[in-house]
This record gives sequence, structure tokens and C-alpha cells, in this order.
Amino acid sequence: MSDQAHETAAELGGAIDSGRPLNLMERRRFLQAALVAGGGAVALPTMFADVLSAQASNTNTILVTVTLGGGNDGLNTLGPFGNGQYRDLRGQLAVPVGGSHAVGDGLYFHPRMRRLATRFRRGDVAVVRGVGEPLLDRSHFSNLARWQSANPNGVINGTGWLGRWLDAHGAGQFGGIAIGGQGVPLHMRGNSADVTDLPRGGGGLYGSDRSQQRDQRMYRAIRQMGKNSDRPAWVNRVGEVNAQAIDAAQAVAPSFRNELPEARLTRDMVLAARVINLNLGTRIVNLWHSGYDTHDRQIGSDATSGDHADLLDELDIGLDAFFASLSGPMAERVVVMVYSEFGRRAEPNGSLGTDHGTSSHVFLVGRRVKGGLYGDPPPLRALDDRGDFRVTMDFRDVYSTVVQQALGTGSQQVLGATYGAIPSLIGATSLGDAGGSLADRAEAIRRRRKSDPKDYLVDRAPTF
Amino acid sequence: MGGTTAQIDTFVGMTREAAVDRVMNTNNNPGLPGWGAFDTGDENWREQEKMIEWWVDRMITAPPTIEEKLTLFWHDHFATAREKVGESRLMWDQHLVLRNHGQGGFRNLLGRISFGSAMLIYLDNESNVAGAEQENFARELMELFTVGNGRFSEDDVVSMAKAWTGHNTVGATRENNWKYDPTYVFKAGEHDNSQKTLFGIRKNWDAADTLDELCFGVKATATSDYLARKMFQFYVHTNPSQAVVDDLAAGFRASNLNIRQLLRSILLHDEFWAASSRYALVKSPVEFMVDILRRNGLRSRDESVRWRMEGMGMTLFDPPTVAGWGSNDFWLSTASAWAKSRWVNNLKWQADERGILQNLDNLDPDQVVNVILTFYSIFDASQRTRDYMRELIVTTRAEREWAMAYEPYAVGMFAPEVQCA
Repeated sequence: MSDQAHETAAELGGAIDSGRPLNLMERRRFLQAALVAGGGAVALPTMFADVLSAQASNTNTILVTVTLGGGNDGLNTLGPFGNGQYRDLRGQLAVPVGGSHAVGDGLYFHPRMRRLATRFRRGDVAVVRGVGEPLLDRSHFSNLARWQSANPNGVINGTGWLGRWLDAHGAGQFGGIAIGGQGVPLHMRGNSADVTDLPRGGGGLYGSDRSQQRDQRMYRAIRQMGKNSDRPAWVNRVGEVNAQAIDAAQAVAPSFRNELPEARLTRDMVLAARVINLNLGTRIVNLWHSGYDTHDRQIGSDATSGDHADLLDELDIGLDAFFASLSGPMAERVVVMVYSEFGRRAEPNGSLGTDHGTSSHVFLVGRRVKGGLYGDPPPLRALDDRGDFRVTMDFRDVYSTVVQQALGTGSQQVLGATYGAIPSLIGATSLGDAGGSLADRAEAIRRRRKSDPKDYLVDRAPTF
Repeated sequence: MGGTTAQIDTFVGMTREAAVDRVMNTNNNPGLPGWGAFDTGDENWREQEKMIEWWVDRMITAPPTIEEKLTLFWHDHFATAREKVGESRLMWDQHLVLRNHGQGGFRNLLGRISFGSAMLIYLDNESNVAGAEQENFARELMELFTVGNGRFSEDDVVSMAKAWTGHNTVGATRENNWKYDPTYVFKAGEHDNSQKTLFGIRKNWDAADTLDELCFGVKATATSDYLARKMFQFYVHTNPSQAVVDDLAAGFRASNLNIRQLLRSILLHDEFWAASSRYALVKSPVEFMVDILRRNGLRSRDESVRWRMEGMGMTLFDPPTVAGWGSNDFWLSTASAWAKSRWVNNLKWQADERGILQNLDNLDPDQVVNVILTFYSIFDASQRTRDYMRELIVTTRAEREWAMAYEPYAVGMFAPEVQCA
């Protein structure tokens, strides 16, 4: 909460303890109070201005993070597959050029990523290379926690960079949506932000059926019991979450009305698109795609098949299904950021896999993204003293770019320090289309759906 | 794992010591089934489901002793997932280790888990070979199982991985028609016999030496601190002071890392009994389900528990990562709330079949509230919780001739107090 908001709270009678962040109910109450006071009596803090404008504004960028859990082998996702040094380094694990998708600069997308490559050629994909930080260790948990918390001193205090953004610029209960029913990921956790965590199936949305008087009475009881009162903190917190779940169920129920695809990531991505289409004021969404911890046999008969190739295939199909399921206006507003806690080590290990490494690519995808290659690729020969790729860009530089250009606010408060930003990577509106008009793209998507009907199930008519 | 109101009543009037002694006496607990109880041939998913159902029923029916909750603690601590391990049989073998050795010396437990096939497979030590080391197990052994993050160096990880080379399963061999054999085996040809520097000590480290060093050597303080803190957080509250942890850790070390000694100190701790520790933990979905099932006289098969616990975010034998599950906030998501509320809403019809809500018609609303909350052993519910249960009873009665309290009963299961411990 900003200092200004605290001062305003004090003016309102000091009912709120200024030493801790406000919870949802307090913020609502405070907002009402602030509005009643009205006029020039109190300045409306920016966080509330955002809430009020969330519905009215329909041009804000929506940030969708896709977290590749386990540490993605970035070098085999997009790499110099024709390069002799690469082939020497990777040996059996090297991805063949045949079937790969050239994107210039001697780089290729993996053969199983043709859809993303197509999107790249249209100018909608930015690849930032060499992203990471000098590692303190190579643990999944601490690296993911450092990426997600993004505190300048590496301290993990339970909040994440996007959770702190939501704290400061809150967009209400649906400002942040976590897909998957696995809890709110660290990067979306704030001190006061309420993030809605959607399960993968819609049948269990208790609170969505309002047809029975009997149920309505129970919803009221659960809601009322959930309000803060004089009882232990965790009891209050449980009650609050119970009450929120009742409200959230009704709001998101339409997303589950039509059947969802079977495939795990595609299902989640289509669900994410449908929730965004509901126009609930959502600004940040997270999805997980796990299984990238490819220590053991990451390839099949060669690198075009096997575990890692299958993951990239799922990712490729999932991203495509996501954009195809977005309504027209929302498709223009979304920026997808694909990242992982680290890359893999340069050299394969002894079991046709790769161990935990350092830097890797971050992908940004969307109509507002100025596509292309960014950052310096870590040299294949000049590895660090542990045989890892060098880090050429701090991940917080990417975050500061995303916060400033996609979320449209300053990044210093969220990141706790000033970081560099890549100039003009993301626009406030759609950027020019290198690959044809909107109509051409719509036609191309229709054709692709036709030729590839089993890839995914797309909403016939996205609902608003 | 809690108990019924009647079971809890039998502890009234006991001293702390007597009560703790009683729950720590596991000598009369029922015996364990053999693998045959779960074996289906090769349907691993179904075998896991049967194991879950067996465990949930045991948690419901076993006498109130430390065994079940402590086994759950170790399952979370040495988190291993059937999804990666593949064979449910190996998860059962590991479960028996957690159960049968989870109350003795920590070094013994650590060794049996580390050399167990489930862990060798789960953290890839089966592909850890001299010259091409695989660090997954080496890192988690230190970060999650013993000393905790920040208490070892990256060089230690490299040396630890080397020390663990060659400790493997038989694997797929020609003699066995390439069928995978998970039996533990030491493959001497794959072991690194070189001098390695671990924790600043240079020698030819082998796997078992590293466990001794972690438990009793230069890392004994770190390991005892890490485990004392983690166990206190599991049983009492999440914010113990360093002084409390230091004290517990010192006693744990003095007992050569005897787990019963540590647990006993925690259960006798003033903070365990303090009023401020009441409701300081959010029940995990398994604890919540077991409590509700037990009080309603239900068993696992009545309620397809595997499917329910998956919705709530906690499938036994399939923790999400090697870090296991979290605590408190970890369980508070809209998704988990939806799964819980939907389940208890269905359960309300069981109350009729089981005659749980009979004879409430003549009671006034406040008395009905008391009956329902007492059913869940909640004697100190907040006024807000009582007020709105009461309102629900009043509005339900106003609409109907008959006054069966289905809705208040369901909402009672979902009361914030019932979901905390």
C-alpha cells in the first residue's frame, strides 16, 4: 500500500492499523469510505483508481506467464542447430537441422515448434537470450523461488514480483488468475493481493449454482462466517478464502460451460483464454507446464522425439490453442511470457539427459510484442568455469521491461531496485503485422484448424 | 491425526506427561498388511489408490497415537512420487520404512530411504555414474533431507554426487530380458573411488560416510537444527524462535538424533500447549478429510477419497515436488476451497442415513449450533461463526415444516475453525 493511501486511511479515522497491508474487506470498506468522502476531501490513491477503471478500460495489456517447471533446455528449444560447435557440444542430443525452423541469425526452432516459428515469422515473438542470474546454487526450488520472488538481495520473503504489482495496482479478485488448482504460485503472491486459483475441472465450482434457495442460504452463511472477526489469524484467513471461493465460482462458471480439450497444457491454455474472454478485469494469469527436468533420456531415437521434444510439442500446440481461443479484442491485448527457473548444462550428462544449468531464453509472444531476437547469445565455447552458459542478461531486466511496457507502470517499487529495460519491446497497442492483414491471419488460423483438427479443441464462438 | 470427541474425552484430566506418554505408545497398534493386499499385477494406478484407501482408513480407525501423523510427516519430508517412480510396489516398500523406522534413529531412517529403490529412481541416482555424475539426489539430500539450503556449497554438491556414484538398482539387464529390476545393487565399476573434498574434508568418500557426516559429523548442528525446526512447524506453529529451535536441536543431538526424543520434546513443549498455538495451523486436506470421515462414521471407499484429495491438492504417494507439500497458506486456494465445500455439501445427505441429526427438532437454534460444533470438537468457536450458523438454522426452519439441519450441518464442516488445528 502506498504512503498516500496510508495517509488517506489515517484521515478517515485511523480505523485501519497502518502497520499491515489491508485485506480485501478492508480495502472494499476503505474504498467505500473514500468515495463517500468524495470530491476534493481526500485524494483517491492510484490503486483504487485502477480498480474503478478496470472495467471501463479495455486496452490494458494482459500478461500471461507460462512457467516451464524443471528447467527447460533452451539450447535445444531454439538453438544454432547447424553450428559445428553446437553439434560437438551436444553430440547425440543435438537437434538435426532437417525439419527445424530457421528464424535467422543461424538459429532454429526445434522441429516440434512449427507453430511458434510461424508466429515468430509474423513478428509476434521476441526471444530474449542468455537470461538468468549468477547462480548461488542449482536447486529447482531456490532458483524458481528467486525467479518468482525477484527480490534484489535474493531474499525470499513470501511475495513475488507480480504479487507485489497486484498489491500496488490491484485489479480486484480476478486481477490475478492461477490456472491448475495447485495453489497460487510464488510470483503472484502479494501481501494483500487476492489471486483466484482455478481448478482444471469445472464440476467442482461450489457456489456457481444459484438455482436453489437452499444453496443460496448456505452461500450466505459461508460468506458471513468468512468475514474478519475477533479470532485467530488463520481462522480469519480460512474464512476469507471460503467466502471468496463462493463469489469466484459464479463469475468464472461460464468458462467451463463448453467442453475443454483433453491434453493437459492445451486444456489449461484454453481455460485461461476463456477466463480472459470473460473480461473480469484480469491482468495477470499463470499456467504451469511441468516435466522439463530432463536429467534422464531426454531424447528418443534422436532429439526430434522423446521427452523433451514431446514437451515442446505440447507447448507449441498449447500456445496456439490459447491464441485461437481468445476473442478478437483480447487476442490483441495479451502478452505471453514463457520462462523457466534455469536452462540445462551445456554438455549432456551420462544418461542422455542434461543436468541443471544457468541461463536460457525467455519468450514473449503477442500482437503487442515487437518480434525478433534480443540479448547476446551466450557463446558456446566460452563457458563459465563450471561448464555452464554465461548469463548475458539479468532476468530482472526482462521483468522491468515487462512491468513498464506490458503492465504500464513503474518497476522500481515492484522489483525493489532499478533495472535496465529493453527499449520498445512491447507496445501499448498492437504493432504492425509483418505477415499480412488481420483478415489474412484469421484465414491462416482457420486453415490451420482445418488441417490439424486433432491438435486441439477450439471454442467455436468465444464468449465475452 | 485427531480423534473422535469420545476419544478426546478419555484424555481429560491427564497430566501433559501422561497424555504424551499415551499417544507415544504405539505397541498396541494394529499390524500391517503385506503387499498382497494391494497387488493387482501391473495396474500401478489402482494399486496406489488401494494404498491410499488403506492408509486413510488406518488414519480413521487406528488408536490415537503418533504413528499416522509422524508417517505423514516423513512422507512429506522424503517426498517421493509414484508418478515418477512408476511401480506402486516400491512406494509401498518405502512406506513401510517410513512407518517402521520413522520413530528410531534419524540416521537409520535416512539410510534406508536413500538406498531404497523408490528414492534411487525418484532422484535419478540410478543414472549417477563415475565420470558422468548426476547431481539430483546429491543436492536434495542436503537441501531438503538434512542440512537445508545455504548450508552447503556447490563444490559439496559435486563431491556428494561422486560419493553416491554406483549406488543403483539392478535396472534392465539382458539376463532378465531387459525387464526393469528395482532391487538395490552397488555397481563397483560405476563408483568414483577418487579423493573428494566434501565439507572441507578430503578423503575417498562413499555414500554411507556422507550420511554419517551429515548426521553426526561436521553437519550435525545444521541437520539437527533443520529437522527440529521442520518438525516443530509441522506440529505446533510455523514461526518458532531460534532459541526454541536451538533448544530442541541440542536435545536431538544429545540423543544421537533419536526421532522419538525430538517428537516428545515438541509434544511436551510449553508452546505446543499454549493457547496461542490453537488454530495456528491450517489442516492439510488429508487431515481435514480424515477428521470429517471419522466423525461421520465413514470410510475411504464410501467417498472415493483419491479423487477428492486430488481436487483438494494433496494426493498421497504423489507429492507435487521433492519439496513435498507446504503448510498453511499452501492449502488456502479457491480451488481447494471449492473441492472441500463441494464434498461436505454432498456429505450432508449422509447425516440422514446415519441418524446423526435426529432429535434436533425440539432444540432452540443456539442449542443446535452447539450440537453441530461439538460434533466437530469445536468448543471455542467465534461469535461470528455461531451467529451465522444460527441464522442459517432460523431461516431454514422458517421455510420448512421439518427442521432437519442438513445445511447447518454441512456449513459446520466448512466452518473456518473446523479447517484449522
